[in-house]
Amino acid sequence: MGQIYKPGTKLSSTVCKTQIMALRVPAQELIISCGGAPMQIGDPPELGEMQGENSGTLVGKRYTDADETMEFLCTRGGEGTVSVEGYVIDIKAAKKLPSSD
Amino acid sequence: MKPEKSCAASSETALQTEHAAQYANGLLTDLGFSPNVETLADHPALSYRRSGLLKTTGLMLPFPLASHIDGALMALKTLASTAEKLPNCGSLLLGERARLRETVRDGRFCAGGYGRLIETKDGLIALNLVREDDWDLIPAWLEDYAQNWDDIERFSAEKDADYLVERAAEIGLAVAKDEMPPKPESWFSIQSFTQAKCSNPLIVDLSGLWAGPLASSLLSLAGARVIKVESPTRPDGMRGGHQGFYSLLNAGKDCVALNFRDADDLEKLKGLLEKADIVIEASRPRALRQLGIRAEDFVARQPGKIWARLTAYGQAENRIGFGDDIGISAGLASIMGQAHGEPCFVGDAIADPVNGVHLALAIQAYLKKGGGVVIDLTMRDVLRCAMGDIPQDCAAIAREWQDLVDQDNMPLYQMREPGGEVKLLGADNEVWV
Repeated sequence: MGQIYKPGTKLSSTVCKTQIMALRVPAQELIISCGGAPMQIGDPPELGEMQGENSGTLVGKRYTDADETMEFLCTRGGEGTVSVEGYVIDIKAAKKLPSSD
Repeated sequence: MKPEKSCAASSETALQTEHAAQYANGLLTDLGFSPNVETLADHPALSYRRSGLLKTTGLMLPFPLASHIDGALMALKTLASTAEKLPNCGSLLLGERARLRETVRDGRFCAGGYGRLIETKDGLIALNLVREDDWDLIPAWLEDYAQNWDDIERFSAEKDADYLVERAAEIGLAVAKDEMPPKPESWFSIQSFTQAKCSNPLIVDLSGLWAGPLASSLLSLAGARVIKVESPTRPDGMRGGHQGFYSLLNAGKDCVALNFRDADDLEKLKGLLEKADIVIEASRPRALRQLGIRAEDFVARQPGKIWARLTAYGQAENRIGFGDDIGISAGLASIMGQAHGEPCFVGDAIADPVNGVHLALAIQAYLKKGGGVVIDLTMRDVLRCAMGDIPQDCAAIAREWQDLVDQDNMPLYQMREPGGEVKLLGADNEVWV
């Protein structure tokens, strides 16, 4: 029941306040979950129960998978942990500061 | 070779004006000091040319921004206990980087080369892709697979400016709308706490790039001791830029490196902050909050402390900005459009040096008053205030001032030499943490 996502798409958790935006995603069907439940495009109304172990998301942080094939930006923090195809995605190192602007 | 001249020693009194002194006195009054600057300074058109801004921009600016920065530095000198080491004039600081790097504006690209003016469905925006991986964010920003400037132009042309600015803010891209905001009531805001006298201030500077480091550098020239704090994983990017320019901004500072994500280092940072009399930072409001560091707590804990911070668009916004794009948001392109029919970037990351001087002045003023204050500067507002009242007849003034500089064969203002040793990342960890 995966879906192909475009960069810029916003996904919301159905079990907490987390909202993420896809920055970079492979062009293949993906199942993206938060707190154990699939995330939905837009603002889903009802909050279900969180499943499994969750360490939460932080607004403004970028999350990526182990191989950095995809990247998401947390646009609203929450208690759930985001996973793609069952694998937890983690905070990416901060952007290098520019050598000039 | 002609001798370069300092702006304090101009001889052609006929071309000197009170613009700088008037601005200086306005700033002093804003800060609660009596206006006492009477020095004449170079005509605004001449300081614009002699600071290098004319060459960088390629077009005359029809209002006295350069003179106002001369004035801001004059005000700083009246408040500093030792002023001898401070630069000869303020406007010199606006042109230093472009003169050292020999960069000029290229059409719609800014002098630094990373920012560009882009047409949207309803007006221009400035997009500034200064960080390596900013390009990775472009598809998410435009919701399409844009890979180069041509793609960006094509996709942006179909979207509204406000929509693009809002999306960029959310993603963390530096995008600003070309607009002419009204002059803000004030160029800084404060939250007051308990005052106490402080004579030999220790500054901990958490900022990077240009504006913050320039402020702490000016204060160091005025006698303060400065510790530059960087993350070993994310040092001040300017270290990798022009070495001469890095030295101008950072010579004479001690350097401490701490990894803010490491629990031990974070404790050391908090310990170092306890030793500081003044903290300077330019991070996004949530960044330090997420580390459990709050400016208000720092100033409330002990009397006399100062926490001074810069944001691009205000504490309430998590929006990022750099010197060039902030310049567009303050109205510079709009005015160049009126004056020359060509909206464009002015100077080189102009909001940075303008804010650096104002930040140093605000800190020096409150230091003199006994501190106990959180000082906020919003970079767009400071620049807009420094632009002053915008004349109606921009095109006529631009022509008149251009005629004036066409007859000016004086050399540009003399470049500064770095004052003191330039230290490596974390060179003074053993001393301070």
